[in-house]
Amino acid sequence: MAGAGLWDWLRGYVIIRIEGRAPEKFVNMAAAHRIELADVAMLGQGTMLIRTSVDGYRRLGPVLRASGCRAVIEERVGAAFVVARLLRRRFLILGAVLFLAALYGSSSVLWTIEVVGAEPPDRQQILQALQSMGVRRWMFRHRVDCDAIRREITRSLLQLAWVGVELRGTTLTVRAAPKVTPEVPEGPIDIVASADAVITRFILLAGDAVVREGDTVVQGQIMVRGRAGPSTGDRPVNARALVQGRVWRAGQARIPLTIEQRLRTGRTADQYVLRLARTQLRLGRAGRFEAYDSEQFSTTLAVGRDGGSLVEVIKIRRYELRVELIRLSREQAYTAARDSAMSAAMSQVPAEARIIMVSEEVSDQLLLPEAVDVRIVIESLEEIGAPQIRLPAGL
Amino acid sequence: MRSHGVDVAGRRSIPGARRISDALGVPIDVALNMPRMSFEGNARLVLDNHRGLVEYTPGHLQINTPAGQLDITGRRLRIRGISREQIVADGWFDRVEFSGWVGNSTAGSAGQEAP
Repeated sequence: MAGAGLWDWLRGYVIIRIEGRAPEKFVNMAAAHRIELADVAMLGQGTMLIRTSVDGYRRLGPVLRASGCRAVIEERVGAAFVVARLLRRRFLILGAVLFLAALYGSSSVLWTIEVVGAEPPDRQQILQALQSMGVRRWMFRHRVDCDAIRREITRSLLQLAWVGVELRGTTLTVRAAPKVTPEVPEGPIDIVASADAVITRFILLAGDAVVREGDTVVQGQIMVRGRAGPSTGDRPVNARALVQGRVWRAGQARIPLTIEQRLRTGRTADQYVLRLARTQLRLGRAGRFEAYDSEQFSTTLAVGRDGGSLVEVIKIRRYELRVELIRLSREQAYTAARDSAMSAAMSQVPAEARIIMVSEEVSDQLLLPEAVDVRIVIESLEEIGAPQIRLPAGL
Repeated sequence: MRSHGVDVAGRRSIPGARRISDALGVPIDVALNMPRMSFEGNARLVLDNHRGLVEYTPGHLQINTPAGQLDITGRRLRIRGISREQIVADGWFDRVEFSGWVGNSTAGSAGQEAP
């Protein structure tokens, strides 16, 4: 018996004005007849506004007569009245039905056929194959059998390595990848140096040696030359050799004694960007931080036909940063610089190399008072011969 | 005239009814056919077992009950719902008065003013 809720709205109710000498009598008699009344409001002498159900209103006749009151409907509210109003508008219903039918009809036929990934001659053949299978525009979507189309195109067009057929909405997409035959290199293979090194061991297996043990080579330098085949009338000989060299690799790092440390203060600001195709709408506050770092999270709401996002919500969270200056001792700076230089040098050394010496140079405190500079040199023994195809002259 | 816990109007008096209800183990409102009232502060009243409206204006509400009349004076008084058994009223109640009830100390009424 409280305010009108959803159930009341679904059942439908009327708001009526009761006029008479004694509306209280009317209310009492209605209650005695088990007609529920709600939101009774006195408007003035002898006039009341009352809410009651449609069924209750129908049963009010005898009560009104007996109490000497009359009722005027002020408002009809609820689903039943909305439906009744709609049913009276026949052309609106007809239009809605025709619209739904047209929408259903147009979405159940094939509007476009796309061929992706194939060059024009293959493309034409794919389209011809589709036509011969009876797949054409304006056919019903439910009659399109993607698996059968894929099998048929793969069987009839042997120049294609792979075919994919996808029916998405009203578009049939045929993706094709042509077979690619690898090109066999014509020129012979040389052995070149993979790093700057001093050759410590050299065993020639095939080809013409250009260097000897003890020589210094630079990266990319030819060490063993292969013999070109057809042009000299001889069969081509690919160079082969085991070449071991001594290689030096350096890593350097400089750590200043005063460093800036950026810490998050805990204050954040969220901004949302709603992106519709190329239009961007920014919502929320950017936060006026002097220094900040930010993270972005994006959610794609609608995907375009090219696979990119059409509608996207991007959340940008900015974290305010506090910049603090930290003073390091010379030992701390040295340790950090050494670790950093060591990892920089080690990252260049191949896994199979054998490290034979590690040396380190530290900057002089007098020459560099506000920083520590460490240089690490790693000396290693490793295989430095790398095969390389000789490109034909003119390339 | 008054005898065996029955008053002039033929209604059973409170002490007599209480003795009977205690002996039988029935609630006193059932034994006395009294209305049951539930107030939510001074803003809402749910009253069960009423006998109809006597008068209703936005400033005054008078309800008949089997035990006597209930008078409410206040502001913006509204009847949120009424059925055969129950009345729900709301608004701002300034004064609630029980007139003609059994056990009233005076012949007139017993009232309670809202703070």
